Amino acid sequence: MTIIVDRRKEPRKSPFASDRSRFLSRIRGAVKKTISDKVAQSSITDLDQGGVKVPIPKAITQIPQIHLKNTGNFSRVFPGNLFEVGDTIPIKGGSGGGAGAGKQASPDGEDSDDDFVWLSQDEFLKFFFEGRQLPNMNKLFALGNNVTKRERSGYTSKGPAHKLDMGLTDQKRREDSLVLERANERQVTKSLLEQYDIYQTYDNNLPNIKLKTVPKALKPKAIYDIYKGVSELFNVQNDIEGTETTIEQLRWIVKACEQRILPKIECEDDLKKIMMLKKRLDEQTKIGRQASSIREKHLTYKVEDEKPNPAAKAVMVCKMDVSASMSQDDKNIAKTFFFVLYKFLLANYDETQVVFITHTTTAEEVPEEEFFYGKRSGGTIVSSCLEKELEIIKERFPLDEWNIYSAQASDGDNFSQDNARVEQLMGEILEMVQASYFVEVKNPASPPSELYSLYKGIAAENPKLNTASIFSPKEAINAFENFFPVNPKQQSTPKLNLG
Amino acid sequence: MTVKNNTKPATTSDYQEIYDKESKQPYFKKILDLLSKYEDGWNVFIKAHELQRYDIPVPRKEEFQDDPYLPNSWMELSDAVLSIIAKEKFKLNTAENIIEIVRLDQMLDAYVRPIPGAPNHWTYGKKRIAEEKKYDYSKNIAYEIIINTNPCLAYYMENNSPTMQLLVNAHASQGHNAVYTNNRYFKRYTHASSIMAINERFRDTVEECNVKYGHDEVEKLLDFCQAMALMDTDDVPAKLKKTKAEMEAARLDAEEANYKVKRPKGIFDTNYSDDKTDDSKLDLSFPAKGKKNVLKFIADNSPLLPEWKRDIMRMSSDVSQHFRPNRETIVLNEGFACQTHFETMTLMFHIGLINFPMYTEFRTSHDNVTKQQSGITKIELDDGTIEEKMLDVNLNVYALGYAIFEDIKRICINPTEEDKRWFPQFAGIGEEEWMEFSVFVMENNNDETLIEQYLSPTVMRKFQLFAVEGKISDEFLTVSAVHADEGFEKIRKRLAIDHRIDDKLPAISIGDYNHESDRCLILEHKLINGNELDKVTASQILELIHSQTEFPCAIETVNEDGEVLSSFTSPPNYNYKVNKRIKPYPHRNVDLRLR
Repeated sequence: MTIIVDRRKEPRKSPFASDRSRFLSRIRGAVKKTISDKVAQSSITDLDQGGVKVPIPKAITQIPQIHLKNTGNFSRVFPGNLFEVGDTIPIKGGSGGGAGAGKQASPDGEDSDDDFVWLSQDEFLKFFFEGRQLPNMNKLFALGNNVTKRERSGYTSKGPAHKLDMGLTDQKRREDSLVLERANERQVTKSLLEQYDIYQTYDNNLPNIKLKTVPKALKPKAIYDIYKGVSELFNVQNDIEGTETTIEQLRWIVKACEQRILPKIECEDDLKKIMMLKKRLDEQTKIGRQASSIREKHLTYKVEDEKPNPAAKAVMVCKMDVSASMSQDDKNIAKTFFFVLYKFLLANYDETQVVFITHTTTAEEVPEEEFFYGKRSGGTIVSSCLEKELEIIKERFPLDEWNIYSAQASDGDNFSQDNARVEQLMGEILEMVQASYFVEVKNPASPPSELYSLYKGIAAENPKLNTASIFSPKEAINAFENFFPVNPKQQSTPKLNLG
Repeated sequence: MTVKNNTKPATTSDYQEIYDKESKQPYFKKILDLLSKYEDGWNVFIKAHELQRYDIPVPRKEEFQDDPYLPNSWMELSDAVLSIIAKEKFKLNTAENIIEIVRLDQMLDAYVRPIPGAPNHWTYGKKRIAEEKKYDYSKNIAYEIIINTNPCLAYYMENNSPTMQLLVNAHASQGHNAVYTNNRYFKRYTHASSIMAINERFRDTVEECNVKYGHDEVEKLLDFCQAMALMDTDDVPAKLKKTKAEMEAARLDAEEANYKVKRPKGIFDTNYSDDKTDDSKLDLSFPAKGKKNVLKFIADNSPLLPEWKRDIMRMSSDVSQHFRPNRETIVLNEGFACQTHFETMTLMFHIGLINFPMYTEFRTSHDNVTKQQSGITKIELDDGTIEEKMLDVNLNVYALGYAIFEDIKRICINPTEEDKRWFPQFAGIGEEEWMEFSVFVMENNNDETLIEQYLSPTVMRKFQLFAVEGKISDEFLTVSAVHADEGFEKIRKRLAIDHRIDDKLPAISIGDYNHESDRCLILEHKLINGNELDKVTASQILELIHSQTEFPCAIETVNEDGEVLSSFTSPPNYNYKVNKRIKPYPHRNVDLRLR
């Protein structure tokens, strides 16, 4: 009979999940290797269109299969004839683009050494950000954030089945069963002995049991002797020899006596008493069997509660000089730096806010769109943006709650009287922030600007300030890599979705 | 199409004659008997078509409500009816079926593994990603997949229409199933009833080893096993079950052989002579020379491998061996399955089990499958001239196979003069016998022999076949034969050779094994048609063998006369020894197994 299996309702848990993840983890190393170069090469803001083509060596993605080269005589049958015998067909070039077979024959063995994987922008950058971290993120604040974690908080006697604590439940059962089994054993022994005493009054040959006089350690031995005696007396081959416990021996003795002596008993009182004892014995046996089972009162369930989890809240203040002295190329280089920084924060930190400030002679806070794509222009006063930053921090980000970071990009040009003010403001800011970053977009041929040397001076005393001079997108990426080095211990595995 | 009565079959006047004839046959009565137990009776398939659902309930009549042996669902009922037709009408011997109705994702899962439940491996993950992308692009998915097991396991797509489910069942679960069960190549080479158990053990062992020896180590070994594909099967069939009489005969033979054994001559032999045997004529190579299963040879003979690696290699080879006949019988397999589904569906239409719209749907699908694309297209150029362009078109195996079997039927029933000349042995044997003959052809052939014996001039004319010869290095290829009088024989021979799969794949066997010296394994590649090995992959594979066995290895390309044309080794330029080993007992024909 045919079996029909309807597998449509099966859960969508593919057995290929593990195959797939194995393949992805196989290519992961190769992707990581090329990623840094790729970030620098591609114009970052254009990444959105179509993703990035990452080369992966064929040795990783392919298993060699032995095969032949079509070097010898070619001879094949095709359908759809239009020829006569003796006609010739050009292989390459010519009028017809050649016989297909000729096309097929050549490329084998001469393929390039790489396979390619297309990664979307997010997947691609995830690999790049893997293992990088914001430094000094040490202010934890529990109140007011919605990050919670489940925590164990005690036990109950009622709960869902999957929360059952097997260890504790079994422990309770064992405690109970230890007590119950012992007590029950004593009771059963007592009622058996009482029965035996009655039988003994009817048959004098039966050995006398007086267990109370026997020391505790010798009791099993004493019962075994009686058991032997009884079996000899009745001349019965006992079938439980060797494996029995003391109680079972007693039971056997009483049963043997019962078979032979009970029919002879005529005294009604004794009969009644025996029946009563037998009934009691049955009940006791039943209780004894249940003594070691799990009862409802043993069940113990774990309880979990949601508790607020203290998490770090962070804000990044991005400041960019958009004055006329910055050429469009310079701005693009600065934007590359901020774009990577922004994506980094988005990808790795859920609870992070970003503030964008652009400045000419005056500073203003702008939305993300305008920061990256807006077109403002004018003179330069650097202190304006620092003032704006201080103002925003004081207004919105209390120091005991927030980890504050600031990043600044400029060509170094500044109104020269402003520098003293900048130094003073920078000092104030550095006291508040966890870390501060400054990139100068400057041609390496020209001498360093006054602002840059000023910042360098501060950075030498205060390690919170990091500076870099860049003049190409690649250098911008390098600066980013230097500011946020990979921490080898804390590499999380990004999920790569190629499907 | 009019429906006369619920229980009586419906038919049109066009096919009344056929219907009258068929209704007297025992299989017809059996179907009628089965379907009359259901409320919908003869219309059960047509009703499903009208609702476009195959998972409709099939209510039974009250008196058969409790019969446990009656099919419960529409799929079971359709399979029961089609089995009756296949078994009773066409006299096919089929194994039992397991039919799994699967979703798209499950179908894609089934695509990538040779057999369901094969051990996990990253190549399957890679293939799966590729298949998914391919599906996203083309939206094409197979109607069914069938695997050579016993009971015969088949996957049907869930979104097949009722007509397609019938077609697919007739094609796969009856047609392919019959080939797997009866074809001599499958019978001799495969163990359909135990392959699932072998595979299960393979998977369990791999999983166990993953835990014991680490995942990386096992993955490397599985990579190696996959790289050895095409070198992991034997061309000698596995041992068949012997009957009692055969076992007794073998035992007697063995006993007798004991007395016949020539012992090595010693000085006490009366006819001892001092003549030295001519060493140059003795084959002094390793006894396993010529064996094609390199993977199993390594598993059996390489001295340093741990036992679990040998185990996995052997099991991998066993699974590959099971699928070896598949690649030799593609045309035959598809041809016979196509004929089965065509005949079955047409018969069902003639006796009124399916109606005209269903028949149309079936014919559309059938004709699409068995269509041959022409090898030459006409392209109109800018200046108005028409250019003929030759494309690289493979023969459609469905089309070719079905055409051959269809033509066998035509020749059996209605032969022309030409057919009588070409196929005197079966031309015109009659309507009653043709199916029997077609089954006989299916049972005893593979692709090569099928084409060599049964490709008729009619089919060659229909396909307009022509043979092309030449050298790839030349500028031109020459048309050596076309579908005309003298060309038929040539084309048929050429096409048969095209389907000789062993010529297409590298013919690699054990050349020698220096098991007493450096344990160098020498593989031999026989040059066929002057097609050389691809050096890059071949040396990669040598490297893999070297790293697994920890001993050097080499591959020699040898021509028909046994001359070594070229060779490469791992490590590169290794100076391996061509061993002239002295055979202690030349009469013994046993593998030396080093464990």
